[in-house]
Amino acid sequence: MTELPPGAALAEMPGFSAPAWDEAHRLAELRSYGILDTPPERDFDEVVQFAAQLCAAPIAVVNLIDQDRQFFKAEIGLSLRETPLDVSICAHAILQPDLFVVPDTTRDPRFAANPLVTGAPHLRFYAGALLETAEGLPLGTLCVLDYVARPEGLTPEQAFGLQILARQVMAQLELRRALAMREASERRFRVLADAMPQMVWSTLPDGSHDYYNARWYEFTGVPFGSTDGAGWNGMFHPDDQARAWARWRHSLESGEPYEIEYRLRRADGVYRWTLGRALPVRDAEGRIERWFGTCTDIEDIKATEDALRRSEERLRLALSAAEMVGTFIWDVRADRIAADPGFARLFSVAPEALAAGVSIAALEPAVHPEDALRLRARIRAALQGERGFEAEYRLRQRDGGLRWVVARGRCEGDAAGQVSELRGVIMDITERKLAEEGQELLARELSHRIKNIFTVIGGMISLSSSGATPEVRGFAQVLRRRLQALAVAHDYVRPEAAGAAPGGGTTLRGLLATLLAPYGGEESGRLRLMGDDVPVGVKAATSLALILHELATNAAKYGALSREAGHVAITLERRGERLGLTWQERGGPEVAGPPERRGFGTILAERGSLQLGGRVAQDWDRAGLTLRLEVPLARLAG
Amino acid sequence: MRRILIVEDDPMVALDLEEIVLGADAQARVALAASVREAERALASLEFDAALLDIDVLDGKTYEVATRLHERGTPFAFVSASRPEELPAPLRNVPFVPKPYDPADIERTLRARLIGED
Repeated sequence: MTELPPGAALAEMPGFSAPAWDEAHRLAELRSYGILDTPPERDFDEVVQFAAQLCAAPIAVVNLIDQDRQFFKAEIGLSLRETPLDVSICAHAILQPDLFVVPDTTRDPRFAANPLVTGAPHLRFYAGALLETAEGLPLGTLCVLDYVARPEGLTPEQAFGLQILARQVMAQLELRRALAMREASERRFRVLADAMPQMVWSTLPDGSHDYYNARWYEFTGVPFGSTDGAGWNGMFHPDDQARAWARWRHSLESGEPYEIEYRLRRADGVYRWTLGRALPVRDAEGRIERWFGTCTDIEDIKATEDALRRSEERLRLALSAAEMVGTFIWDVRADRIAADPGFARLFSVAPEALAAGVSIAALEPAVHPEDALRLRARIRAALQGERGFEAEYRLRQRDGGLRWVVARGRCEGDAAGQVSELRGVIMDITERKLAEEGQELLARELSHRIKNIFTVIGGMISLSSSGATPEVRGFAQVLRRRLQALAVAHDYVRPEAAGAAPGGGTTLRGLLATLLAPYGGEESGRLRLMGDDVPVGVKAATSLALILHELATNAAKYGALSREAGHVAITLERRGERLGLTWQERGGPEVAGPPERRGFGTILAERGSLQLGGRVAQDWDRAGLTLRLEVPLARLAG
Repeated sequence: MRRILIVEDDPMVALDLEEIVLGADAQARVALAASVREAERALASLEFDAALLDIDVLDGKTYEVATRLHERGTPFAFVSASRPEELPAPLRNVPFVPKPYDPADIERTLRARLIGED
């Protein structure tokens, strides 16, 4: 069989019947024992010595059949560690069950041409007991050989003994493999454990620690091995030690998983919140063999959680404080509005229903009918591009009452720019609304009274002059008109409904238009109002009203407005922080010059503009009076 | 000879209005009422050609008086410190002279809207 090339697979060798196993599987199994190419060992050497003695044979071998060679783990009488497979007798033996005996190799066609038979060492007798795994895979043989043929073969005792020894070799191999596997497994575990970001430890069943991974030592900074046994407990914050110990004892006694949060001392002395967990590893009978545990630094997570919890708590408190606020998310396309209990309460809907989500239609009945249209319009506007949403409306309550609310929200769009959600808050503003209404009522009542007082004074002036001389009656009329101008100005700048901007949005042009209305206003074409508009406040309004009233009455009596063709141009011009007002009369009677006596109007204009921090100049041109007034904008708004 | 009803609870203002009315029509007979009750009593016994109504008087608002005048076809105007927009909708077309008034406005309203002169 020398003609076979080295490396030919055993099963493919001619003359071999097909084995019951897969050769690749057998080889993998053989290698798993880690025995190939290992040096001689006493355990195996003693076996071959004993086999040789038992069988009175000069040669005995523990022979393992590799892919293309046979390796001798132990041998006596050969002084070889391996030979090629093509000269192997054992390669045949492993195809036979139990014991394979060749009484005379020269008479067996399988071996007669074997160079070990035909030449040195002239092997004539062979007996091999199979080395077989529990699975039934043959790894090799324990065999004895002789230089002389033994037609009688082995005695029954020898045959039995050889098989017993073969099984001992197998047991030895199994033991080796089990130990190697365990070592590898432990090695793997340590590598794995050391690579973990967590601290890993293990204990014996009684709870005493016998292992910590590298991370533990790195984190705690303690010397290697110093926390074995029960030393770990000292690493905990004093306030946590008793609790952790009790919990650990409980797990040890009950076998229940261990889980606890405690503060663990880091190498720098800082205690960090740590999550400790451990699970028992049980044997086949359910007895605890070991405990494996981990410690995870959760300080940062805990800090984040705390912050989040506090923030949520604050939000919840804020929302529930006055039971005045609710939040909602409306999935526009699905028409599901989901909201919190605050929202549910305001809409008189079961909180569970709103937590799950309802359609907008389910909420509409709560909205006051007078506000429903306006609310819908606002929602539509928000959905159609405004994005921002704000609406004030009334909600009908279960008790029949009404609550004013303001809803504010924002539309969220999808990637395509389509509105997908409208999220927002709703706030009960009933108290504010009532206060505003009260304030408005008060303001209205006050305004009403002031107007009545003006009316009474006006009546009093007229009645006081009733029956008097025409001069006195004329004077009373003038006085009454001045009073009227004051009243008009006062009414114009009166505090508007609460909530309006200071000054109520009143402007100088608005005031002038109101004051000059009795003179025909702008429609008459005789009064023209031009230029910049500026805000005007209560104080300035009354002064200006009196000044303008005098100008207008004088114009009507003696100036431009006393003639059909006459007209007045009033020009307003902002000059930095000041406002210039020009009153120019044209088309009236020719003006001879400044009046000899300073009239009430002039005095009022001078004093009034002074009081407003401004100045006045009058130009008595022949064509008509031009009055220029300049007042700081800030004082005008006051 | 016209009969004019003035409903006004402030005596000074009532007298002033009376003066103005008489200034416009010296022949007129003016009846003064300071409350809704007095106004209704006057309406129950007399026919009027026109009326000037304050809105807030001693015993309430004069809306019912206004409604009665309207039903009778008697022209009238409000003379009030209230705002016209506070009026009930059916009364918003009634002439309205805000207080404090310029006597000329009262006279103009009387002539143009109430006593058919101009």
